[in-house]
Amino acid sequence: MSKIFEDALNALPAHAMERAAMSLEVADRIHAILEKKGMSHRDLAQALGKSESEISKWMRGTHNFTFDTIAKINMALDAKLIYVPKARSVKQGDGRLAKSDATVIPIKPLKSATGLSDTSQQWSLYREVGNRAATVPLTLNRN
Amino acid sequence: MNKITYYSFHIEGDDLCEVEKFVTRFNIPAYKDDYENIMSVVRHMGTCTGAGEHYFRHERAAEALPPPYRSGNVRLYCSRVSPDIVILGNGCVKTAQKVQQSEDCLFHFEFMNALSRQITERIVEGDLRMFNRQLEGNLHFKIGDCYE
Repeated sequence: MSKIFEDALNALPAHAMERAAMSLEVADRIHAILEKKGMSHRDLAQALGKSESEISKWMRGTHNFTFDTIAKINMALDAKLIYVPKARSVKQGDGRLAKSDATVIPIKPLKSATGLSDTSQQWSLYREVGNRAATVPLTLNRN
Repeated sequence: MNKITYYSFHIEGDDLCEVEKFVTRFNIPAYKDDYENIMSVVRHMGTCTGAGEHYFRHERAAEALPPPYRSGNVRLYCSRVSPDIVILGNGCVKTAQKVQQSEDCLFHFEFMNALSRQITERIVEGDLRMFNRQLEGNLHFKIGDCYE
């Protein structure tokens, strides 16, 4: 590769690279959705109330998309152009525990709790941390 | 570049090939945004996506990489031979709506169009072949009356 050309590519600032990548990815995404739905640029233009030439300019990958534009394209294509991962998902529960709700806590083999005088009547669930016995707030009553 | 082999052409007697002239001319503060945008697209296509047809502006038999949509008029003329072979030419500042009225662009536009037509003819006639992201065969071109 030409040294001048290679140096020029390597000297590009990271934000310019990121901007180009994002704009091309959005253009790719629109292109893919249009193909999947059998829509043309003209169909999208009509749905957005814009000219076909303007849509073609978007497809070239250098358009600065605003949230406003993206929202309108989402509506016109009935698809999400960009997915933003949620920080955490909150699952709606029905008040009952399911198998999928199980959380596994590594607990050492059960031993009788220290300091309890009547071990025949009460059992404590605890685990050992180092040399100390750490109880969890649960007492099992033997029936 | 693992997605595209980029070529440029070297006019006999010149010190730099055409894309090197583009870099040398436009890598200055006055064209910073346009230049970085075009070169970033070149790099991203070369490393990640390949030369998707929809990334290019069609200029008759040739192509051009677009300047930013909302500002700037810099063009980089090129010939997209295939999704993994692209020939980069020189660029210009488009000063009029039609390239024929833009003195700076007309030469580069016509030069790249002439080259693209010759490449297509040679591929059709079998004088040029595409193999493993490379062009094989006769890569010497005579364009117009002055350039060989």
